[in-house]
Amino acid sequence: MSAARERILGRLRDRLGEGSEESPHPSAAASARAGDVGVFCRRLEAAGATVERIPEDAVPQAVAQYLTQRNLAARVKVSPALEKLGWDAEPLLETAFGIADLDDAAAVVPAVLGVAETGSLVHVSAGDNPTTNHFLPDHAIAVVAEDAVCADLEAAFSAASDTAMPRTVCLITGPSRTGDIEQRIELGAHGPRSLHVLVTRK
Amino acid sequence: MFDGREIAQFPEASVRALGDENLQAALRLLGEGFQARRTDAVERFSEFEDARDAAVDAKTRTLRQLHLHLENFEARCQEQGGVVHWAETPADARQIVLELLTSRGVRVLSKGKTMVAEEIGLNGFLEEHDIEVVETDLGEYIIQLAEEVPSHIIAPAIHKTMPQVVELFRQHHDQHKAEPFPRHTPADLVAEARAVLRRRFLEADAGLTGANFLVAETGSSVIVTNEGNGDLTQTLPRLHIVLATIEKVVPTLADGAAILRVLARSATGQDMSAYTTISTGPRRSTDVDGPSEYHVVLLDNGRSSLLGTPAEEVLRCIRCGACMNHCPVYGAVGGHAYGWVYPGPIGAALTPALLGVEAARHLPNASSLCGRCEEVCPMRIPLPKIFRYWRAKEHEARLNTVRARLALALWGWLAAHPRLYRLGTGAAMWILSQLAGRSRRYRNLVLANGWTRSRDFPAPAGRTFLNSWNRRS
Repeated sequence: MSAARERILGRLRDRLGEGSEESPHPSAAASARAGDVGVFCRRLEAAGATVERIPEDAVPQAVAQYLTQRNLAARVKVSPALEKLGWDAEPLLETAFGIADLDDAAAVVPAVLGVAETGSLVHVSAGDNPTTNHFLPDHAIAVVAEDAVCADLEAAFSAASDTAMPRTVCLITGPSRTGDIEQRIELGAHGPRSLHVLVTRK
Repeated sequence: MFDGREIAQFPEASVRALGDENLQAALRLLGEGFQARRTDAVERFSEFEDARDAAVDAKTRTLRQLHLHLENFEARCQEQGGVVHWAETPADARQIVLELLTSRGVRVLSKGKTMVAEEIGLNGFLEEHDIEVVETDLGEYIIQLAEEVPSHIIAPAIHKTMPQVVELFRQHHDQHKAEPFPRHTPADLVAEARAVLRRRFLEADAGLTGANFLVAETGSSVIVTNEGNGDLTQTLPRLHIVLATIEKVVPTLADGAAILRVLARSATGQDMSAYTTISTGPRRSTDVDGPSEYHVVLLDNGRSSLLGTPAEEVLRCIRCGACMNHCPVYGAVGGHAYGWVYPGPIGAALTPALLGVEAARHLPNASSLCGRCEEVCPMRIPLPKIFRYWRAKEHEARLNTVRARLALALWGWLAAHPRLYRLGTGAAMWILSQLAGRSRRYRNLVLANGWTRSRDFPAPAGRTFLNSWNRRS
């Protein structure tokens, strides 16, 4: 296929000239500007998520309460990155750590950043943070620290690509949705039907 | 599958479309649906015009040095363990995908929404080679069941009404299930498709997605979706193939951010789509999920030859669909009448470039040049100007009718003789005004019966604009 490569690039060079690289737009220059947590929460709600602001050590309790309120079984798959949140404090909540499968109705997942501009959570794949957990279960409960909320997309991209790019960087803005039947918006097409976000403070 | 021959039938197909009650019912929803949502989104975002400028600037800069950005993309992608394939034609791209699948023993391919796959006729080709293709976007899934092609670039099944979808699901799902699904609301249908497709994601050996853009600085592909099907498609199978055309690359993630600020607002009227995912290379050694192979197929299919021509601005397109959502012609006849992959104004501008003016000559004429498409295009593509460019090409190649050529020749000659032109039009306006009678309209008019067949022709005031202007001063 390198012949095709040479022909395509050759045609482009014929039309555009050799060219020298223009200084790239400064995506690296964007610092991780802190974002307004209130704006972040409002935008997330506007995108169809529910939001709760809680102390850092109250995550297991908030998860248990949420499942009860939604009339869901008290059973969650927790991404290993969140294993050390003190789940023993909720003995009635059944927790399993690891990668989600079709039997998991709800998962607790971490977001490494929030984006105030868009009300997005930023998921970055890692060994202890499988992408599957964000998409496969019916209900996603995401945990994000309020001091991890940055101002805008540029700041988020800059922070996410700071070290080597991970396999997956995903901006999640609300639950899964579709408008494919008569342009009516329905939640829960293939990803989570509901997205509950726990914004934690130290 | 699209083979390009349907385009020649545009005039007949549009007449049929106008009489298709289901289609008309579906298209009537465009106003309160896509159009109203975009208007709201733009009103909520006071910096929209600045964001448009930034997005246009990002793409314009990219296209000026496209070869360098593609080379960068390739180098970065390979550093991350990805493989880049180059395809000049649809046949090349199909072959590359087929070889990737067969050499790895893939029997089931799950697919996110990609218009480029439609452009190269991928599904039919793979099925001929005994590979099962599972469309996972709800709209794509519906039309796959119906054995149809998309009629819209972001809402492929927009031409279907809910009762039609109910009927399709009944035909295809009930045989596998003792108890039929409830089908009273759109939510029921979404839940049904979700339940049916769940297992298919896990069965697939490979997943294929398109790319909303590619990022040169990181060697990544980016998809923007709402359903989450694209993410399951590119996460669960062991092989991920990205199919993208060469103009999709942007230099940096910041350029991508500029595009994201206008994309969802223009497309669905959301501030941000539910999922924007940047994929870079295969799973890392410490990852517990993600594909173990990541391949990107870069397709040219005529795009490189567009640069430097008056139609090159179509390469800025980010496939939001705003032009078709707001086009009175698309709104009247729907997407299938256009006869090829990209319907509506962007299709009318792009198709002649990809398939040739002769094959696509009807499409640039399927416009009143009202300019609404250009007004809503987030990338400020001058679509009407490009239609006129293709119309001129059609005329140069003598592809239009003798009647049209004669009329244009007469018009051209008159326009070059202003005195005669003024005399002629002045006389015609006076006569038409005198003969109009008290109704001030014509039910039938010689030389304009194309107009009067479906509506009255209002009588002129009796004087031309120039006449009135001269008297005034």
